[in-house]
Amino acid sequence: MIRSVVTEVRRALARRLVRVVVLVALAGIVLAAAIAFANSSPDEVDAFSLDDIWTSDADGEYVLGGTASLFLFLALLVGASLVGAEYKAGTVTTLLTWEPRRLRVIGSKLVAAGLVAGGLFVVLQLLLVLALAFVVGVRGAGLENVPDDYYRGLAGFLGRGALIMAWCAVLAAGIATLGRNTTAAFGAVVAYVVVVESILRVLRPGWEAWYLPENVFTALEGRRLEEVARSAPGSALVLLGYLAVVVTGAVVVFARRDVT
Amino acid sequence: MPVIEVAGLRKEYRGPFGRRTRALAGLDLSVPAGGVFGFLGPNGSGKTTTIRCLLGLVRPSGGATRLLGAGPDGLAAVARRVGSMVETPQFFPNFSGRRNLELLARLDRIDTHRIDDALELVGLGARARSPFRTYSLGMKQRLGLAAALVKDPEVLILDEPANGLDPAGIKEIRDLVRRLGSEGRTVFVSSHLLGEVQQMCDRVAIVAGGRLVTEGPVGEVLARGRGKRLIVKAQPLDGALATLRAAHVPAAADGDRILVELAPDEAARVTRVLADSRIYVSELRPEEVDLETVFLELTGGEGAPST
Repeated sequence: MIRSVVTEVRRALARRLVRVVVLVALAGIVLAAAIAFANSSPDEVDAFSLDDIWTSDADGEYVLGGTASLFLFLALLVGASLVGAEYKAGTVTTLLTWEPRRLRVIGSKLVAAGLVAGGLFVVLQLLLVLALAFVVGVRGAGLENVPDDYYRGLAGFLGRGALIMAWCAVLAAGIATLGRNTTAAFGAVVAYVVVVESILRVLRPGWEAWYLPENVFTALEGRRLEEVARSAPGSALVLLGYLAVVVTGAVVVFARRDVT
Repeated sequence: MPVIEVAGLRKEYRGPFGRRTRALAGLDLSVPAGGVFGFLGPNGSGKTTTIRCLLGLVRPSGGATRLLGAGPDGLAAVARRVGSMVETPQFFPNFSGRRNLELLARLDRIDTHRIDDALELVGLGARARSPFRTYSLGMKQRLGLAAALVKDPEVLILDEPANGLDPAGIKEIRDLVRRLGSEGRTVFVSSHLLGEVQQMCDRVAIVAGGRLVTEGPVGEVLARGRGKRLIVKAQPLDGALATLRAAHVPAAADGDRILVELAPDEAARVTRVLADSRIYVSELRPEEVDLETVFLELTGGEGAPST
């Protein structure tokens, strides 16, 4: 199983889409650092500080929170395309003649999708933190007087983020397995969140604790959000429940489907 | 023990509105170890479905398959010993041929030098590092064959391996398949190229309508279609034809020759009838039957086989 997962991860990392995503993210990191550099001065009262990168303040806005939202879409795309591309290229047949254990094949794909999305999130967010911290050090509020729990809190955010991105990618990969198509999977998730949940919000405002975005951001922040009557662990359980349904469906269908 | 066993194999595909298409209707097949086994049939006769059932890609509606003694649930135990190529092989388009094989070989911890060997063997060494999407159909076939050979398998299952190849490529593949068969491996080749099957296979099975029509050594299968007609050349042709017909010998003109509907062991009757009329034959031989003729006879002319 480990060999299958490693192979899938290597394949995912060698994919053009993933490489483009990484390149664009790296360019974005450089651009963000340049913008922060150009707009900050150590002499100003509101000079660029570590709190602008990440903060535990419930009311505070920070860069990593915004980029995490972007990463959610990228995780969806990476997860969906990892499986969708396999169907589009027709390589499932070739793969199954080498590894006929279908549970192992689909399991390794789902695990790889999660590992790649979660790993990319941590690595790219860390690079962003380093780039912005450099700006804070040379042209911002400085790196002195950092609160004791800052780095632990930041690590917690990155850890939760990695898990959420992995969740997102596995969900998308599961839907792509059911629909045998990247666009269908990506579109299904986006359409569900944008259309279905928007309608439900109007018709059933009391169901907010069950909607995807609320639970995703509650779990990501690691604390109860004002608009959601659910704790972070509660949201994580809800998300796991949704994932279990999709993954079970995907595994059952993949195990039984004729590959023609 | 047979390498491949198929018993009463049935498969029906269900369409989106519950419409059913029957691909296999109780196919029985037994492939002995060693040599090249041809699996012949017109388009839609169930060849590829049979192969997909054997490899666990498709769930049969009924019947049983065994590959190296393993049923569909036990294929993992024998997968390492089986190399296969199903229809036009598909790989990741943006990865090179070599990269595609590396990713597969990694699953079985196969040495990378085996990949290079396989690519050289199928004549793809020079283009091994080009993206798969730039390959011609023939090159895709070669890569599929290389993927099947990388495992150094005991059993090779090849579905239409000559698809898309030019005549020189077809000959190369034919020679390769024959060589693999002569090395003691079992090569199971499905094809509708009758001439190819006749030249490279030791045994052949013909399927039509999802059922086995005939099976056996190529020579025996050919013999089953032999002995139907004699070819006669004599001068004057018209006189010979009239003489034969007058003697109630079923005969018809066919260009500069006469086709006589008699078995070879009745050839003496032709010479006697003609000689009695002082017409002497310049040529008298049984009509040569090739696999195409047998195939068309046995399948009732179904499909459009290529020679």
